[in-house]
Amino acid sequence: MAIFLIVFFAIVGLVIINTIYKPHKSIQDREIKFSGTPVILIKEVNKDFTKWQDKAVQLTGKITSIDNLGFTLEDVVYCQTNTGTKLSQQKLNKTITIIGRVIGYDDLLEELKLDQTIIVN
Amino acid sequence: MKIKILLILFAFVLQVQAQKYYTKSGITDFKASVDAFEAVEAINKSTTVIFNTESGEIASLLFINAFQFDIALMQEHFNENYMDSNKFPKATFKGKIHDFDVLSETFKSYKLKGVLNIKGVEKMIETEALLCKQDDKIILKGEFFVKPQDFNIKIPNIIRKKIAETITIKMNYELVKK
Repeated sequence: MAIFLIVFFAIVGLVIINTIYKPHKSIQDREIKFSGTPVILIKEVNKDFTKWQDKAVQLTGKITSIDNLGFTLEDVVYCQTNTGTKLSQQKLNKTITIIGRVIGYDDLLEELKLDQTIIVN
Repeated sequence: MKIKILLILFAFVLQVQAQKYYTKSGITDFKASVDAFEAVEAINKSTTVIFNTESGEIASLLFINAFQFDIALMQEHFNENYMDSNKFPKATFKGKIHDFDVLSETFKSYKLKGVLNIKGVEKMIETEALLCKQDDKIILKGEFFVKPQDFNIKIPNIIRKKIAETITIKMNYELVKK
């Protein structure tokens, strides 16, 4: 009986700990809500931003600039990676496909921001 | 005629001087931890900051849902229950660095004053900011304090003790020429 109780509380404890300390939702676990070019996505975002916030999107476009923490697609979407790995300058002006999470439309710089970006192709 | 040319030249010089520095990946973090309880802190690595070196004017913007917590559940609660980040996705700051002059390689303290907008509520903020110039970059550092109730952020009584009454917000920005 005592063993049964110990096992029972251990299981309950584990369930609680797993709920509290559950892992972060990674970009791969998310359903892709949009697939297309940056320009079309911007148009959609400007119609109703709330629909796109915190959503995973897949984009194909040309890399127009590269900085230490990310890169810009078609001058309108800034993509940050989680790892902070810098893209090589050779990729500039090349077309790539990425998956990232929409964090918001930056009206100071007039571009859409993504984080957790991963390069698919 | 001469005056006209002078005026045009003058306008041209002014335009050249109006330089803007910016970042889109500035680091803003906040701490609301209370000793003996779990750390309540998060970091935002995608803050946009634009700084006009001529006027000293500064504008910044960050997205609430880009704050990263160590604990995923805490991040979820922060977005859904406290900040309502779907309804109020961003926080902004518009202000000015007072008596801004030429920067050197060592940090100098300036008065930073402006309006902070969180959850659609505006509040005047006044603090000290440290600025210096390293190579082609301007480094801006500083911190200020806010209270959750000032921005309509309600904290339930049960966890009231686990969250600090005053929250420290730290800025750490590396600005490059636009």
